[in-house]
Amino acid sequence: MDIQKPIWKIYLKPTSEKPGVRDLFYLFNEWIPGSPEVFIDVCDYSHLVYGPQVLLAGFSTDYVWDNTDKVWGLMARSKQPIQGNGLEVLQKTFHDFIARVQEFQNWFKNKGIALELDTSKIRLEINDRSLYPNRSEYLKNLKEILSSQFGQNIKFTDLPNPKAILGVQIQLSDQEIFALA
Amino acid sequence: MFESANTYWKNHTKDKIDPDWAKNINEYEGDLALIHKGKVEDKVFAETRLRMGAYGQRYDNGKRHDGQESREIPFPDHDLKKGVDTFYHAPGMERIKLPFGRITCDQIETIADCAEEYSDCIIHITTRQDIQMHFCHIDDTPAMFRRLAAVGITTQEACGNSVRNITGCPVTGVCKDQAFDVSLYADTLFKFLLGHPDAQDFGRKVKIAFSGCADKPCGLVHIHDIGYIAKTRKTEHGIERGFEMWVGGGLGAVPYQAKCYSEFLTMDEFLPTVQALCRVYARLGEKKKRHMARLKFLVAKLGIDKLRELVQEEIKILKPDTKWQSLLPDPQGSWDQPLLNLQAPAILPADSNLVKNPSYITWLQTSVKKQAQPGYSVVTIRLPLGDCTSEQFRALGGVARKFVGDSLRTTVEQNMVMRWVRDLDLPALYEALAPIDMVRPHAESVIDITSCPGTDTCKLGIAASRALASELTRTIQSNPLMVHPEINALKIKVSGCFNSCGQHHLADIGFYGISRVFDGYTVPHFQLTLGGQFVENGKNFALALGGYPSKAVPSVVNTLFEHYIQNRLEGENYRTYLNRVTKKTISALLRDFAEIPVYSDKPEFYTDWGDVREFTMKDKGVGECAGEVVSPTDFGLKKADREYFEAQTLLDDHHIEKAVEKCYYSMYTAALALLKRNNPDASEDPNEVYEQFKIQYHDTKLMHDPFGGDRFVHYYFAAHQARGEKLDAEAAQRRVEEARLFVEAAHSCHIRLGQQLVTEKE
Repeated sequence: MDIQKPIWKIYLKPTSEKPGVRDLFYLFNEWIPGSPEVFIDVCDYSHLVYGPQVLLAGFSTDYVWDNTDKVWGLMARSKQPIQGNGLEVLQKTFHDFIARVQEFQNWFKNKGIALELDTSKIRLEINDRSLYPNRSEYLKNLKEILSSQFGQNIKFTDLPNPKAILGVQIQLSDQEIFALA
Repeated sequence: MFESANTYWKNHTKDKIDPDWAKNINEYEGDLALIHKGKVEDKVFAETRLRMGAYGQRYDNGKRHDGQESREIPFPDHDLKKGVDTFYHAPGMERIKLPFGRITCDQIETIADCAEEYSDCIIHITTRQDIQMHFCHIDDTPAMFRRLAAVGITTQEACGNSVRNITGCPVTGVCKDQAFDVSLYADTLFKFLLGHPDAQDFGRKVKIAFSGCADKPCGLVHIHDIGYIAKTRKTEHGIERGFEMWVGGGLGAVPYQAKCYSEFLTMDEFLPTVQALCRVYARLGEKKKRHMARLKFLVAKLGIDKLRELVQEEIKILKPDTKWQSLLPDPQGSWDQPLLNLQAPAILPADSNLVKNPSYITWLQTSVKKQAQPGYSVVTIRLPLGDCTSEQFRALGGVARKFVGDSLRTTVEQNMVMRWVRDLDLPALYEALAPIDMVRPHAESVIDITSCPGTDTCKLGIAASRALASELTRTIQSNPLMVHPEINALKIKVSGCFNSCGQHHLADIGFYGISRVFDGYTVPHFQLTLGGQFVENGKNFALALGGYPSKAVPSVVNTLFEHYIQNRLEGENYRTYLNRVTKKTISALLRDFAEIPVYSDKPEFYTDWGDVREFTMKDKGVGECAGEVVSPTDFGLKKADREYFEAQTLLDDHHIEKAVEKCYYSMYTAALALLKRNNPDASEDPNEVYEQFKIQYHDTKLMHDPFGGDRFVHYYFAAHQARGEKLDAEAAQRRVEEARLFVEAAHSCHIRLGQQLVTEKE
C-alpha cells in the first residue's frame, strides 16, 4: 500500500494567543528565500471563516495556518511524490513538518507573542482517494505503520466523515513529538 | 506514484466518460508524455493545455519579487517547459467550465475532492460562472479531467482561442421577469459548439451569454461576443420563442457595446446562424494582432449590417446539419423542477425560535428572493471574493441534495444560488447552511464586491484587487451609510489591471490596478471608474476618473458615499446623479486622496493591501532623488493624466470634437514626456514627437507592454494619423479609453525603464 500526500496538522492550545494574519505573512515570506524547499507565494484566505487562512504555497508542500476543522493549527500538505515505502514517506514528512513547527514557535516567541501549540496530539490525513482510500483495511495499515514509528502505546482517534480522506488523530505524551521527529 | 494514481482514475472512470471527451483527455495525456521526451514544442503544448483549461499562474516563470529584489524560484527540471517562459513544474490554475453556471450535487462533491487533492482547498467562482482552482500540478491534470468528466464536466475549451463557457442567467426558469427559461438553449448551444470544426480556428476567444429578460443584469449580454435575450411573439399557432441576438460586445481594455444582429431570431435560425457567424469570424477575424482579434473589432470594422449580410450569405452555403433541429429543446420546455412539492411535510429546524433570530431575518430579507412559482424561493449564497473551501463546497452538496436536488447555479457576481427552495423549508435551510458559513446576508449588495484574482495569482495583475475588495467589504460594513438603500444597492467591482476581468466597467464604482512612481518608489494605485450600468445586461460603461493610491481607496469610497447621500435627488440612481453633479465635481472632491504621502510618513502606502512586501524594489527613477526633484517626465505624465480627464469631461458634456482632440493631446503629451527622459529639450512639434517616439520607443520595443505588446502604442499612432477626423459618440468614447490606456502604458514604461536603470547600476 503506497502512501503519498500525507497532511500533518498540529493544533494551537485553546489558551494560546492567536497569531495575526500580518505576522503570518511576515513569517511565511521569510521562509521563501533560501529554503531547501521550493516555496512560491503566500496567499491570504482570511476572508473565509473555516478553512486555510494564510497559505504558503510550495512545490512539494504547502504550509497552512488552518481552521478547516474549526480548530486553529499549523498544517503541512504534501503534494508531490516522495520516494520510499509508507513508513519512509511518513517519517520524512513528519520530520520536515516538526522542524517547521519548531521554527514557527520560535519565530513567535522571538516576537514576544505567547503562541503555544499542543504537542500532545497530531492529526494525519492521507490525501489520496485512489491509492489509499478511506477504507478500514487502509486505516488498519496506517495505524500499524504509525505504531511502528511512534510506539505501540499511542492512541488513535479515527476522523469522521466517510466521504473525506482517510485520517487519524494521534495522541502522544507531551513533548514526545519533538523527540520522535 | 502519480502515474499510478492517473492510471487508477483512468480505469475507474472509463465507463462513465463521454467517448469524445475521453479521447480528448487521452490525447492531452499523450502530449504530456511527449513534452517529457522533448517531442512537442512548448508553445504548441501551451495552446493544447489552455484548450483544456490548464492556465499558467503568477510566478510560473520562476521569478518572484520579495520587495527587495527579484528572486529565482528553483523549480525542478529547469529545462522542461509547458509554454513560453513557463516552467513545467510550476503549479498552475485550472478552469472548470460550467455551462450556464449549472452544477449538480455530484459535481460539487467531485470538485471538492479535486480541490482537496490537487489544489489548495479553495474553490473560486469567476465572473463567467466558471470555477477555478489554483496551484495545480500539470501531472495531476489528466486524473482531474477524468474525475470531472465522469460527473459530466468538461474543461475542454475553457481557455484558448475557442468558444469559452456559455453563461446564462442563474435564475432563468424561476424568474418573474423572464420570457422563458434559457437554460435549455444554453445547453443546446454548448453541446453544438463544443469541439465543432467551425469553431476551432479563431484568432481569439468567443464568449457567449444568455439572458431570460432584457432588463436584469444576470446574463450581461451586451458585453459578450455573442448574446441572446429571450423573447416571445404571438403567432397564429400560439406563442413562439426566439431570441434578440447581439454581437460584438466585450469588455477588456477598451469596452465595446454589442450590436443588435436580430430583433427576433427564430429557433430554426438559432444554430445555423451561430455556425455561420463562427465561420465568418474565423475567416475574416484578425489572426496576427492578438489585441485586435476579438469579434468586437471585426464588428466595428465591418459594421453590423455588413456582418449580417456576410452571415446570411454563409448560411446559404452551409452543409445542412441534422443537429440544427435534433438538438433543439422542447419548445415549451423548462430545465429543472422542484425536488420537493408544496404538499410534502416541511423540513423543520431544530431551533423552533430561529424565525425570530435577527441574523435569520436579515438573511431572509437580503439573500432570499421569491421565485415566479408561488411557495418557492431562490437563496443566494454570498461567497466572499467568490471563494469557498472544499469542505464548505462538499457540505453544500449534501445540503442541496436534501433541500433542492441539483438546482444550483453559479452567478456572474461570484456567488451561488439554490433554486426551488420551499418557503416553508427556509428556516431549516438556514440552520443547515449556517455551520458552514454559507448564510452571509446582503447578497448582491454594495458589500458583495466582485473581484478578479489580480496579483494574487494572475500573471497580468498589477495591483491586489482581491485584497482591496476584502478591505472595502470590511470598511463598508462598518460604515453607517450602508443602511441607506441607495448605498446598499450600489455595485462595486475591482480588477487587478485594465483588462476588466473584475468587470469594473459595469460598476457604479469600479477600480482597476495601476501604479505610479513617487520619490523614486513605485506605489500601488487603483484607477477609479464611475457610472457603469450593471442592469439592462450591462448597457453602459463606466468612465475613468483618476488614479488613487491603493491605501487611499477606502477613504475615496466613503467620501463618494457621503457625497451621494448628501446630494442625491429623489428618484435618482447613481448614474443620473453623477451626470448631474458632473465628474469634475467628484474629481475635485477626491483631489486630496490622490496625493501620495512621503515614504517616511506613511510607509504603508508603499505596500499593497494583503501583502507585507514593498510594492516593488526600492528603485529610483531617472533624474529623481527622493523628494527633491520632479523630472520633466513626471510633470509631463501628470499633465497627460489631466488632459485625458478633461477629454472625458468634454465627452460627458457632448463636446465630441473637442474631446477627441483632447484625447490626442493627452497621448501626445505622454509620448513627449517619455521622449524627455533622454532629451529634456526634445522638440514639441507633434509630427516630430510622433516620428521620434516611433524611433525611440516603438521600434526599440521600449514601450512594448510585457503582455499587451505594442497595442497601446498603436492607439497613439492611429490618433495621430486620424487627427481632424470626425468620430461619432461611441467611437469617441473608445478613443477616450484608448487615450487612458496609452497614458497608463506610458506611466508603466517610465516605471519599467527606471527599474532597468537601477538594475544596470547595481
